[in-house]
Order: sequence, then structure tokens, then C-alpha cells
Amino acid sequence: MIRKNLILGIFSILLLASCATNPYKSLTEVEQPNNYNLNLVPAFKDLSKGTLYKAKVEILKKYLSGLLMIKQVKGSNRVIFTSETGLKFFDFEFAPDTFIVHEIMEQFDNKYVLNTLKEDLGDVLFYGVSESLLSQVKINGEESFIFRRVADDDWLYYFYSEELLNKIERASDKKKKVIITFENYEEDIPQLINIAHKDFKMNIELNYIKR
Amino acid sequence: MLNKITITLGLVVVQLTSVAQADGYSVMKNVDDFKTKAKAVADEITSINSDFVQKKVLSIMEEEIVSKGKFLFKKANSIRWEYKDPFVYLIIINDGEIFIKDDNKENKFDMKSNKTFKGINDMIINSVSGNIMDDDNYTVSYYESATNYMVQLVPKEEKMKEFMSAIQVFFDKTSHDVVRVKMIEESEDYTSIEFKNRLVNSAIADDKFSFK
Repeated sequence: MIRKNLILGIFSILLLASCATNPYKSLTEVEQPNNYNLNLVPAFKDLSKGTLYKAKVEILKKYLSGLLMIKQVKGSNRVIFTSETGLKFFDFEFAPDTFIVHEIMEQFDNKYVLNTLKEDLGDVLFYGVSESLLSQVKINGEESFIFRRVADDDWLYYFYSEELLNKIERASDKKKKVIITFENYEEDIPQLINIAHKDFKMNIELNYIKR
Repeated sequence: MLNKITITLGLVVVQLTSVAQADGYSVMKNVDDFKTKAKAVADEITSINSDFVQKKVLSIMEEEIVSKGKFLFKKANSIRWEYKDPFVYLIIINDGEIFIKDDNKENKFDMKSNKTFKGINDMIINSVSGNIMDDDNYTVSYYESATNYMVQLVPKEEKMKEFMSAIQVFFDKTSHDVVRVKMIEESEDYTSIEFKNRLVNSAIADDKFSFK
């Protein structure tokens, strides 16, 4: 009886462990020819003109909406989030070698929120992509072209179909953490971007505003 | 000692005039006359029905975000602020409560519990109705140009300063109506709200200010 329980126990641990270790079933690396240079096409090809989104942010049970402006300024990507009435929530700069918080409202100014926003918006903007090694991978059941790279303690997966980025997934070795989708490209601009967190209730929806 | 005082006085004068002169404004000559006339106009207002054009100017972006909509005000403290283009967004302030509708999301807050919200609310109501001359919460200064009067309010309270370093309310020089409100942030970015097709004291149904 003890032995049976022990076997069952070991079996369930093994089962749990195998479920937990790989969020992607049967992932294989695609071998590239020598000197083959992998290059990721970003969601935004040109940010020299300001790009404006209506943003809806849900954090836990709180809701906040506003306007998110993204623009390339002197080699950096600047992201400013204001209320519809013009109140500034934050102003971030993704500079090539550093991240700068120019302004942040008290309510957003905590380490956890700030890091999450930096990571999410940074992923959307391909922040840090050029410094890391890329590999192409195949995932069973996925039609897209998939590339991945290491980002701090996580993996980032980039899903492309018809040469357009339609999804970024941030995952640890054990589970998916953030899923970012890009939809309805018009004139090289995704009209809808959605950032969904899997490990806690947070969602950011960005709808492009035509001006 | 005398030099120090002169320099300090000089700096104060330069500071006082720099804001105004940059916009083609100089210090108002007859403040009492303006106050009396503006107050008389404000006292007569029972309602305002106006279009508005909002410009958010982000200096670093070299970019203006322009939005348009409809503004309704009814005495004593009902406001309907409706953005229609290029996005839809509705704010209703009524009797100390604020209601926000964004697509299908609806939010309601009680402003009485939030001092900053109440401060902003009072500021909006008082500035659009031109009733801003004697507010203890602000340091008030007066300017004029060829066509406009301008009253500048600098918040005294630290919390308010976080939202805006100054508010400028522009009046038409002949009608003494409020034509524009400009809210300036510490970074010098600003939000300007211009009122157009302004209709005063027309009948506005109460249900425009009810939370449906």
C-alpha cells in the first residue's frame, strides 16, 4: 500500500513537472545555414511621426483609460500616457542604452507597476532586440514563423505570418507570462494591440486613433 | 544690501512679466474694472452650451493632440463634457459625483472624498463661468492683450501643483466671456481648451447631467 502510494506520488510529481516545464509543446530549433543573419521585423517600422492610441488599462479590478502617444525623438522611443482630458500619467523614454522616467504620476510610481509597464511597452517597441541572439523555432500546431530570444530571465517568442508580426509571447521556462497581439495592420501600423498578463489580472488594449 | 534687493526685485519683475510677454500679454491696467465686469457677466450665467476644441501640446513630441466635443454647464455645479472626435469619451459632473463613460465602461466616483478631484472640479466650474477672481487656493495675477484679458492662477497646494503649475483663463475683451482655458504643467506641456459657438443661458434638459 505504501509502495503504491509512493509510486502514485512520484508519478504525479513527474506528471506535474513535465506539464510545468514546457509551456510550448514539442519546440524545436530550426537550424540556420552558416552566417545566416536573422532579422526581426518590428511592429512599427517608422515612428518618426507620432502614433496615437486610445488606451484601456485594467489592473486587478481597477480601470483606467487615456491616450498613449508613441514617437521616435532623437534616436529614443518616447511613450507618453495622458488622460483624455490632458492629464499626464507618465512619460517614458526608451533610449538605446537606458530607460528614463521623465514624469510619473504618484499612482503609477511603484516599482512593480513601473517594471511591468517598462517591460510591456518595451516588448511592443522591440526594446533590446538588437542586443540579443535570435533563433528560429518550430512549435507543433503553430503555422507562424516563430523566433525567440532571451530577455533577462524570460524567453520572448515572436510570431509572424505573411511577414507581419502578429504576436509576442513572454514566457519563463515553466509558463507563459504575457501575450501581446497585433492586429489589422494599415499602412504599417497595427490598429489594435492587446497586452494580456497571464500571471495576474492586467490587460492593456490599444486602439489606433486616426487623425 | 541695496544691490541684493534691487536684483531680487528685478528678478521678480522679470518673472512676473516673462509669462505674459511671451504671449503678447502685458500686466492688466485696470484690474478692478475688469473684475467688476467679469463678475457681472459670470453672475448672469445660468447655463453654457458650447463646442470645444482641446489641444494637448507635448513639446518633446513636437506634436498637438487635437480633440473636439460638446461642453454643457448648468448652475450650480452640473457639467457634461463630451468628446466626440477623434475618440468618444464622456464625463458628467453632477452634485459632487463624477461619472465617466468610455465605450462600454462606466465609472462613478464621489468627489467629496477626494480633495484633489474636488479642487480640479471647482477650478473647472469656476474658470468656465469666469468666477475665479477670489479663490484662496490660487495666487492670482492679471494680464491683457489687444483682444483678450487673461487671469493666471497658480495653485498654492502641493497636490494641485503636481497636476498643473498654472492655469490661464482667457476672456474676450468686449463681452468678458471666457473663450479659452489653458492648463500648464511643470514640464511646460499644456492643455488648451477653446470654447466655440458658445450659447449662454439657453435651456438645457436636466437629463443631460443624469447618469444613465
